[in-house]
Amino acid sequence: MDIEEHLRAALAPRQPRPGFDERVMTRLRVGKPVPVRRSWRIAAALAATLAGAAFALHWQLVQQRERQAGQQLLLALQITSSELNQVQQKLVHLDTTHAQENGS
Amino acid sequence: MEAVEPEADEAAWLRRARIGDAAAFRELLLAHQARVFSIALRFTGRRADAEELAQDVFVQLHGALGQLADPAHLKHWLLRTVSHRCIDRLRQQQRRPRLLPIEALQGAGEAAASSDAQGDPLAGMRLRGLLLQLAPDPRAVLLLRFQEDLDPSDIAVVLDMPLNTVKSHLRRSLDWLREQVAGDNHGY
Repeated sequence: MDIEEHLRAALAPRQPRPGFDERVMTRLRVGKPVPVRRSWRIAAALAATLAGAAFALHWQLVQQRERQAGQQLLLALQITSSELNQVQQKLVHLDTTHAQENGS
Repeated sequence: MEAVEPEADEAAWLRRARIGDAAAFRELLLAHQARVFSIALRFTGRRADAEELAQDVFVQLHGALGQLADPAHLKHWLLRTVSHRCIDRLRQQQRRPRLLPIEALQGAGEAAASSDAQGDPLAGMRLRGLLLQLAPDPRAVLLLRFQEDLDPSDIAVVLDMPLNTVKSHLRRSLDWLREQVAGDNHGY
């Protein structure tokens, strides 16, 4: 078959999806495009937005927990350090007392 | 299948649609929707884009009914409008890279059998794919010639193009298509 016949066969007219006329008439009434398959796109966009929001919230919570854990660790280190200082001062005091007693 | 109605009916629908008869406008729409949608589909390669573009054309038609004298004028107006809208859109798209849509190559559902009945389905897919590689003007010329069966002189009028340019696009595009198909046949 000649290329021209192949082209005629390949380019046979196609009908749009059912309800095309109704979508055009609706658009004439409403004044904006009436999508044929927009519902799944909206659902996909909504799902992506929700997933993004959930991830952002989760990330914020993780960060908050890490900050709290860091603050608690810092507080614990400060307490430990303070207690160690007190113990050290007592040891030094005891050491000084012993030295004075032995000296006298 | 496209609704085949006597021209007298279409003239009556056009007259009634011009005075605001929505049912008559719907009849015109049904009579021409396959023509307009198919050109948009072959141009864009995507059903959703073709649907949107075809809707745009019919909305524009609704506003232009008063300018259309008869069914022949209506058909000419539709072909001209959809072709120019397609060419404009394609030129905009060609400014940015895009992937070849798979919908453009496939038989696209319900009408696949009818289009491929006369030939090899793979050949049809290949030709539709090759058509998408053509520049906007030659693509429009080929579509109007082989989908709408217009003569080169009619194509020249629809596309506002010199007749010799139409003939040149036709000849070069067909030569290129033959080369591509021959290359396929001689491939490994």
